Amino acid sequence: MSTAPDTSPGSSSTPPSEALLRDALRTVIDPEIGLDIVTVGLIYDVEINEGIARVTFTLTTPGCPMEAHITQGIVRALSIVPGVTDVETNLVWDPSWHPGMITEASW
Amino acid sequence: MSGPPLRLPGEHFIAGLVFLVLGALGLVSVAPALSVGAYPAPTLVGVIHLFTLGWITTSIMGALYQFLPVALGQSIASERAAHVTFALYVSGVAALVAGMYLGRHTLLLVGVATLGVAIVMFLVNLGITLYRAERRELTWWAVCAAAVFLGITLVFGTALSLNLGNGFLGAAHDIALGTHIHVALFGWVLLVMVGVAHRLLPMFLLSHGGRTYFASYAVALLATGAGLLTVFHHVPILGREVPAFFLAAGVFAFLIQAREFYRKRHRPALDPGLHLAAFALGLLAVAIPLGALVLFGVASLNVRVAYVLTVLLACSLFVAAHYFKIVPFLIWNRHFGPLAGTRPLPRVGDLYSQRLANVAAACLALGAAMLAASVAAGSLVGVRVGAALFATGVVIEAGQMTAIARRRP
Repeated sequence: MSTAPDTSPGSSSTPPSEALLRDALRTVIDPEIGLDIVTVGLIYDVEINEGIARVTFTLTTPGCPMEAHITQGIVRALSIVPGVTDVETNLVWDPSWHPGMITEASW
Repeated sequence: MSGPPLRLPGEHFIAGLVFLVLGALGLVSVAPALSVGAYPAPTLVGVIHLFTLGWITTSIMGALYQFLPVALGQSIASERAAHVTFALYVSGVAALVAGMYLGRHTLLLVGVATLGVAIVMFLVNLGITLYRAERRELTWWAVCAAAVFLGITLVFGTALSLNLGNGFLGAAHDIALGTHIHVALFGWVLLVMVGVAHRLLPMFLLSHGGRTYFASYAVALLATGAGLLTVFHHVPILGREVPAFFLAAGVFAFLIQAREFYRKRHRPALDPGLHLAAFALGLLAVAIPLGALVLFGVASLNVRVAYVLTVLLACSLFVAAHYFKIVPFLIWNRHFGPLAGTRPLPRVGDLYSQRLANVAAACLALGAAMLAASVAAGSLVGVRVGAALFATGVVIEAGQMTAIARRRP
């Protein structure tokens, strides 16, 4: 899925780091677990190339009612990061998520 | 694949809560009949149906509409039919219970007929959905079997209702009543609980790495037991001791499975809903030895009623526990979800008071335990106090659900 975010902050000359993008994604939470989607382990990969942020992620279960909100949340959270001109999301089910993927000591 | 709009499960949950409040107040009013084990008393039977049909089954229907897309990858076949079913079902339950409580046989039969149409519509809608589902795992089998036993419960219930007018069942009345109760609670309610809990408990507890095959045993044993009871209910051993063994073994397998989920959880602290669910499962465990006393004919009338009440309250509390998980999630998904990524948002658990939820869970648990024990012991004071505690818990939970429904960003 590709969306065209607000590009106004994207005029920064240096591309944002992956760590910065992951930090931005921490504003999106899994409301039931009560942790952000990075800590929960839903984000499999984040990369940026020529201003386009690509996020490979999963959900806790197929058919999760949160799919639309988490996808939109990812797009919104990254769109406001300076240097990001577009966000592409890629929802995958392999490997499937399990609670062991939650970052330890995050409770 | 997403769930239906909030309205469909929402209307079921609202109606379910209204029936629960009425049922809890009804328990207080029928305390004298309960304390002497007078199960056939029409007022008591009416109150019991506020729980079985009004609270538990209405909640199951609403929850399935939300849950099937997640569990089976298939939304309910017709949302419109589901709304019509809901209207008929709620009207049917109201007429049936009023007919029983007030001793109006004609009103009762109107209720049975309306309810019958609603349940058949529900089963057809559910059947089409299950037929279309591509994911046929344990939950699919559990819901399929449960749907069959809901239909059988309706048949026995209709026969018992007609019997009130003309007594055509004669000496077979007690056997028909026992079959109706057990097929309803173990075949319909518990099979759904096993199938749904197999997905929801690990999701809520964040369980991982535990053994999951006990749930398969539970579904097979419960379905076999309820099936044998349905077919052979008039046969001495094959229709009594054998099904009882299968049903008890099925409950035991379910309890072992649930214990495995709790033991292998990654979520360190349990919230009020998960505490209450654990208590409900413990109460269900108590029903096994009580059932054995009834089976071997060494139980008094009071213990017989306490046995049925224990199973009923365990199922009621298990459903009440899940309201603390499902309702705030639905509200969050509807009103807070669209804001994801734009600003910090509350967690599902932040949408209600954990302290009040804990008070509600404690009142429900203590009230249920005291009710069951006092009915077994024949203590009117104990039954009244237990019913009052239980009703207090229900009112607090209903208040919490109302507050959750009003939460907005």
